[in-house]
Amino acid sequence: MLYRYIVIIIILLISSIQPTMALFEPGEVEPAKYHQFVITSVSPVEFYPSDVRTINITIQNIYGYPAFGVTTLTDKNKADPIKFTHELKKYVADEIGPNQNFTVQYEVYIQDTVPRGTYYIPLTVFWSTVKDGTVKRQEDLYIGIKIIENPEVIKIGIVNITTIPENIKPGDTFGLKVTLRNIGNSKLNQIRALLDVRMPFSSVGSSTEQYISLLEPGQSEEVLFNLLVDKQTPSRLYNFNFTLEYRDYTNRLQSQHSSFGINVEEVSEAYIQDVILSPTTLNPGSEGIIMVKVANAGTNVIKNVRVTVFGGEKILTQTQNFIGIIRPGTSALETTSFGVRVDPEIEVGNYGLNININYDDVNGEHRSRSNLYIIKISEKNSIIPVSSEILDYMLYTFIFMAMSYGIFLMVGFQIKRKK
Amino acid sequence: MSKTKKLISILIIIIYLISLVPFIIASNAGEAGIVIGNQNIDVNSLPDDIQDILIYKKGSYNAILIEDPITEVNKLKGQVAKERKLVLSKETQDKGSFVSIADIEMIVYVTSYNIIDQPFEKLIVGDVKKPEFGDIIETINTKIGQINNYISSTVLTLPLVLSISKVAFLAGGLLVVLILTFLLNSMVALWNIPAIIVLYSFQSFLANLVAFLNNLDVDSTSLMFGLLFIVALPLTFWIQRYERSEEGRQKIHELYEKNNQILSKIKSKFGM
Repeated sequence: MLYRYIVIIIILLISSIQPTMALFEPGEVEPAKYHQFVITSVSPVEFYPSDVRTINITIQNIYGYPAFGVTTLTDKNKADPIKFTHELKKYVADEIGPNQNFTVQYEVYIQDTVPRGTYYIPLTVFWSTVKDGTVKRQEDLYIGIKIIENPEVIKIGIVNITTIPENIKPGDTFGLKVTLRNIGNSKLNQIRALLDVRMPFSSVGSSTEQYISLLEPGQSEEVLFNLLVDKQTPSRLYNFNFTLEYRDYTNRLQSQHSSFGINVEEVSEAYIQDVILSPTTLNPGSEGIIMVKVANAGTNVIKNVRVTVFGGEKILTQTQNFIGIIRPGTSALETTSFGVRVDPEIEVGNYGLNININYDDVNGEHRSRSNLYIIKISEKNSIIPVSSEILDYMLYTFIFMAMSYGIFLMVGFQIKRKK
Repeated sequence: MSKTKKLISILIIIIYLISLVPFIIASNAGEAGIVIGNQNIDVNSLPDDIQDILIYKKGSYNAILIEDPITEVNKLKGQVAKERKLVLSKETQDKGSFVSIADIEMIVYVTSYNIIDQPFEKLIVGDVKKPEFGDIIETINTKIGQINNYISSTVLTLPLVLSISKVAFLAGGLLVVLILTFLLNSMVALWNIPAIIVLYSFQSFLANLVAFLNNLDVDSTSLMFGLLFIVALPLTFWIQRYERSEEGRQKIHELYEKNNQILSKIKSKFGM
């Protein structure tokens, strides 16, 4: 009978254990109803934007019993905007005894855009109360991370921008020299200067990217870009985007964007395309006309165009003509005429006419340009088909003959009188 | 003929020949003149259009301002001045030098350029050099300066000396023949005619010689006339002797009478 009771009790015990075992299945986690762990230290706690650093978190078992199979976990959703890289769940130890400390390390990345302030990140600790226990307990601990301003100044200053030559005209090839200086307090490496070259500019004989291997604090270096500006480019200020990429003292890639302007300005726009002389041969006393064709070779309208001719006092009837406006392009040629009346007493030879074009450019600046045009005054053709020299000789001969005849008459008269 | 008359005659011929020299040298040196200004100019500082007419467009040129002591130009308000020429040359010459311009690349009458802050009428691109016998002109110019300094006045100038020389060149031959005639005979003679040819031909010969030494062209008429004195000189002496002879005097009388007859016929034909 006793044996029967013992069997019944065993069966009851087994039947009572089965539901309990079904309740605590392996891998099941239940929140701890007491505090087993505390964070005793966190290092470092201050981070700068763009930082990538390892944080050490020291945790102590403050409960009177050991913890088995201890693991830690950070939840990426709860940690945002602070980013934890590498593995988020870490196995710590098989057993952490009472009052025993352990340290876990996480790599933390702080984004550039993270506002300054303090962020609280949960760190969850899992453990078992028994060795090789399948039931895990968990406790959420919190660490505080402070994001502060970086005391290291990392910046490259553009201290000077020059062009060679200084004045750039449409169609010119020129050098653009940018002087960079490390105005921060840490050295910068692998500096890449990138110029955004767009039409009407193009790069000639050099890349739009230039490199500087190292810039110490306070050090300056020059980068040179060779550029060509299209000859049809209108005169104005053109904007260039300039990018600097470099690695800072922590080997992180930094970038800096800026822009500057380059003025393209035409210096000489008007020119004499043709000078037509009619008749083509001028003699002392002859009359005619001289036509000066003026073109605007630039890309802007020029105003108050005047053509003045110097040095034609004995050749021209007027010395200045007003044209007004000349639009750019060869189709907008302007012709101005000057009357020709050659002084009859003028000496034959080449006469230089200084043809001056005065005008105001698009900026209202007064400009002038002069050209020497050589007019040949030839000897007038005589109605008698002999040269003036022959005529002179004939005149001398006549004078001599007359004088000789006079002498003959005087000598003959003297002889006759004596007889 | 007395000894005094002979001496005076020789003296007159010598003075005449000496007075010819300045004009013959100055007028047969081509484009020439006295250097009155000298400045070294970088090609880039010249006006663009002047640069266009230069062959060498790099380096520097000497801008030499010379004044032609013979050629005159009409200025504004009826003024007359000696022609000034600006020579752009690779060579240089000192102030006061008498220079001629060789290897001329361009001659242009220009009045509107300010290159050395002094006006000029002609712009010449070429080389300056000393012409043949140019030292004589320089010496005359120096002596004139010394005389002017001595008398503290500028009465005497090189252009004035050259003008006197020019008068001697144009009228001197005739005057010398007439003076010699009156010294020898006190009356005109037929030998005067070839004698005039002799003197003017010899003048022309000297001028051609100087021009030839300065590598200038001499036209064939001048060349032939310059050699005419070789024939005219013996002819002069022959005529002088012939007209003194009785035969010569008779012949001249006959010719004079014939001439009178012809003139009378012409007069009667025209009712004079």
